[in-house]
Amino acid sequence: MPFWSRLFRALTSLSPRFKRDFGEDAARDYSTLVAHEERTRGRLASAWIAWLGAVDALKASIADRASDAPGFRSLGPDIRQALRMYRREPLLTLAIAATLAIGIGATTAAFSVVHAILIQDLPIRHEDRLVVLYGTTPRTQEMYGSYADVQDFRAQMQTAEWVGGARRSSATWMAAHDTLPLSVVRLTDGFLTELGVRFLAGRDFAESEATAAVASRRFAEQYFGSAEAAVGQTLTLDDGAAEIVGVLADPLELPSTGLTQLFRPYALSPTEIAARGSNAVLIIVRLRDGVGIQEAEAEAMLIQKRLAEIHPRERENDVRLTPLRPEIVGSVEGPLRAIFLAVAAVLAIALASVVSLLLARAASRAGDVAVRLSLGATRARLSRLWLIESLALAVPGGLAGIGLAYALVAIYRSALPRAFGRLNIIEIDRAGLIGAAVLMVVSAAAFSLAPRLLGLGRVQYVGIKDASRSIAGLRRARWQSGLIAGQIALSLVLVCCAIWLAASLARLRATPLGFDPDGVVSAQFSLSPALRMNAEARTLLVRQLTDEIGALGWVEAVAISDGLPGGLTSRFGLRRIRPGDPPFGPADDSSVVRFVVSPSFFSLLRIPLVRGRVFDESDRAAPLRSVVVSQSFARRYLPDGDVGTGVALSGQETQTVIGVVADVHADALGRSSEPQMYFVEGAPGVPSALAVRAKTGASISPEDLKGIFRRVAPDIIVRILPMRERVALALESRRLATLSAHAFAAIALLLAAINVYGLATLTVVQRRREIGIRMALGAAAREAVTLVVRRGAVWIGAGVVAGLSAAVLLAAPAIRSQLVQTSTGEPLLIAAGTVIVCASALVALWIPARHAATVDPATILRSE
Amino acid sequence: MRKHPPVDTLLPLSAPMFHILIALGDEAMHGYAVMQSIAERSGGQVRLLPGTLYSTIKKMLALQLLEECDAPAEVDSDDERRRYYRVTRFGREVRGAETERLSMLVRIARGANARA
Repeated sequence: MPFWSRLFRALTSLSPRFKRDFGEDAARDYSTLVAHEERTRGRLASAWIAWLGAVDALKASIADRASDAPGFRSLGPDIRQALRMYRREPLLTLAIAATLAIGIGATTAAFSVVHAILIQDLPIRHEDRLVVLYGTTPRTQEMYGSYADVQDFRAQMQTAEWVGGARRSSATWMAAHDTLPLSVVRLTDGFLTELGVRFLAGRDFAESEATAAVASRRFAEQYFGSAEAAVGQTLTLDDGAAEIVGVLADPLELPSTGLTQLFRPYALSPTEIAARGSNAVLIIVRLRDGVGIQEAEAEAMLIQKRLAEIHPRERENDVRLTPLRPEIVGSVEGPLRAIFLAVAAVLAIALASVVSLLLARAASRAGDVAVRLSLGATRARLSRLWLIESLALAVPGGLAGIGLAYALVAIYRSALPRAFGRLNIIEIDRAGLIGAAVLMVVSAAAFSLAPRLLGLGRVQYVGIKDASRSIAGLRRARWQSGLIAGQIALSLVLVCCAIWLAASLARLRATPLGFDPDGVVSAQFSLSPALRMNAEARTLLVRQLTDEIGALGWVEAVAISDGLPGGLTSRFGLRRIRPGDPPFGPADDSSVVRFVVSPSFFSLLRIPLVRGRVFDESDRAAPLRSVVVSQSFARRYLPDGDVGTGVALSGQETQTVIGVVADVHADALGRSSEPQMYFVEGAPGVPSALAVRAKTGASISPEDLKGIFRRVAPDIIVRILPMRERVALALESRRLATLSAHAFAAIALLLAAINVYGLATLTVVQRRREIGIRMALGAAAREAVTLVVRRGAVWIGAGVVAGLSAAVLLAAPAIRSQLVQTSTGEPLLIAAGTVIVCASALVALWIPARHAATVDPATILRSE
Repeated sequence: MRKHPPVDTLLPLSAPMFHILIALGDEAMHGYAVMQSIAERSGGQVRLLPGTLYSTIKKMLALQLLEECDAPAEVDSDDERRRYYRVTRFGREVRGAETERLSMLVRIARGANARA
């Protein structure tokens, strides 16, 4: 049945009797009419008539229903009355609707995030039986395995139903007009089919199909328009052509792979397949039904021991099995929990605000209620009026909230780094919308109780004039002031957190990096597999690059290295320090950051030399003979003298420490800097970055660098970024956390201010008569203001005290781990938070208080 | 048979009711034909949509302005399944009274316009 006809039938069924008597006839005539219109006047005209017919059916059904039920008949006037009330108090109405919108919007967005990440099932089969097999050594926590491991465990593990491997890699797509970096995951045979991933189009590949690829839906839609159009397309990648044979229906994310654009079969040479030393392969095991994880782990350990005997390795490692799901969602759990707590606080504040504002509004209506009661309105009728009024607020507020939720999710999606993985796939889903609708209805029902809380339903007619005075219930609503105190407290907690994070970020930005990024541009590149293996060709290429770049007019110096401070570093575990030392034990943390650099690296980045010397050209001849260490390295491992000492850090060979340089903040800015060691170019390590310093006053031209790379090494992909920006990128996730905290604090503060405004308005309404009489007796306008402000200030004060205690006792310990060089106890920061909250609250208090000063004593006295 | 209410109490008739009474004339028609007839007579100016049409017919049946009747002999089998309505004697009375009332209004209005 076409959509319109279904809609028409649904609308006519609003009045069951009408539907029974005439529903069939009306629906048939409607369909005939729409079809006739389409035939004679086209689709647009028929859609218009279909719409008019549907509206007409709705009106007719309601009218028919109203003629049956007398209660229904008065619905129209009630709705009109509700809207009239809101027109009369536009500011208060807007405040309530906005508060509701913020509350519902933030909650819906947060719910959608949590639903997408933590609740929604992963798009894979038998998720509960999937585990990750990690290798563990006492020193490194977890490591992946090799392709050979996959084969071995697949052949030997009895408790496993299936074993598969995935390896993260990348590729560059030479598209028609651009080269695009792609995130690629290489998979073993039948991986996607075994996981039960759904295909939108096409099929899975076999491992033997070296040129096949499966694309993600987003990738396919982004570049080819649709999944169907993508299948059969051939991509020219830097490592050969790839034909898209299938497109996945759902985004598939594996631990630490992020969102993948292309899945490709494992294509390795026989030697690579046999290599056991690699630990780049994520091994996923599906356990047999009914097998416990411990049982499987015990078996895997046995297999591992057996393997270690056959293939003795340098390091003997244990294996550990861990469920797949937490491995995928785990990385975002921390930030999520923080977001969720903040949203819960915001929602609590929002609801408290709305209740408080409605109480304020209800109080001003005591007279109206008295009139209605005196004219014979029943309590049920009044309750219905209140419910309709609440719905008239909750529905537009809720709809605005849903709009806000969409906006929030869009902002989050665009603002968060790719590292957040699944956060990129969040959208407001049906569950989120249902949640919002439920919130809307529940809040409407709850709000309609507000007048009852004030005791308005119990008002007896005493004299309409006196009604606003006679409500003892108003006095009993003191808990409402408690709500304000609670809100102020919560906002103060959020504001303090935001200030702490902001201070921490500002100080981090100001932290000495240990090197000078200004005037330096970095070029990060990745060599093709062929070049990686061929040291000679590699050296030639690098030499040519550095020579040509060095000859550019604006370039002062060029350095080459295998990494750069600012997120491009490699770590490794030291085996021992001096020759003959016992190897480090399991509990020792012997991780250091290791760079392989050209001699100009230190002077180029202006890393200060503390003692000894740095590399010079003569060191290149014997690259593994000398080593430069950082200050923290020297302090930690060579307390009895560093320069000139012989150390045996990686293998059997002994190096001499030739110099000590200052620490650089390698990538985790703010953490106490890790020990660093530098080898000279020529030591094992694949060059992957160039640092170029411009002459003083000269402007950097990234285009020159790109041009040289294009000419010298056309198939190398290079990413050129000023060093300053690289450092800023390392701060990105902190910046986002701070931004989020600010947003939440701002919302909370706004809501609390709205609530204070509501309370002050209520006070003015309640005490209008008192204020008028006082002023008639000669009180100045200022006194009227004080009267209102005093009451509010007491509760704001109480809120501040509670908020400060909560911030220091509860929030501070939770947020401390996120802070760098910032103490939660700093009085200045706490004072700043308190001032911000107090100032906002007082402004909100002052507006209605000023209103109190305009009360006209003559009017008040006349009404007495 | 129930007694009719006095004709005067039903006046003025609502626009849909009057249109239906005119469209039916002295014939028997089904709902869709009534809709078409109204649209044709008014040159497409007035359009009664199914919701309003049937809720009005429902009221008119209750007021005994209309009654259900058998399909005329000449209609095809598809139309035979529809319900047919025709104007009752009381309906004709009401239609006449409403026409008279409106004519009088028009006379008054024309007179007023001529004087102005």
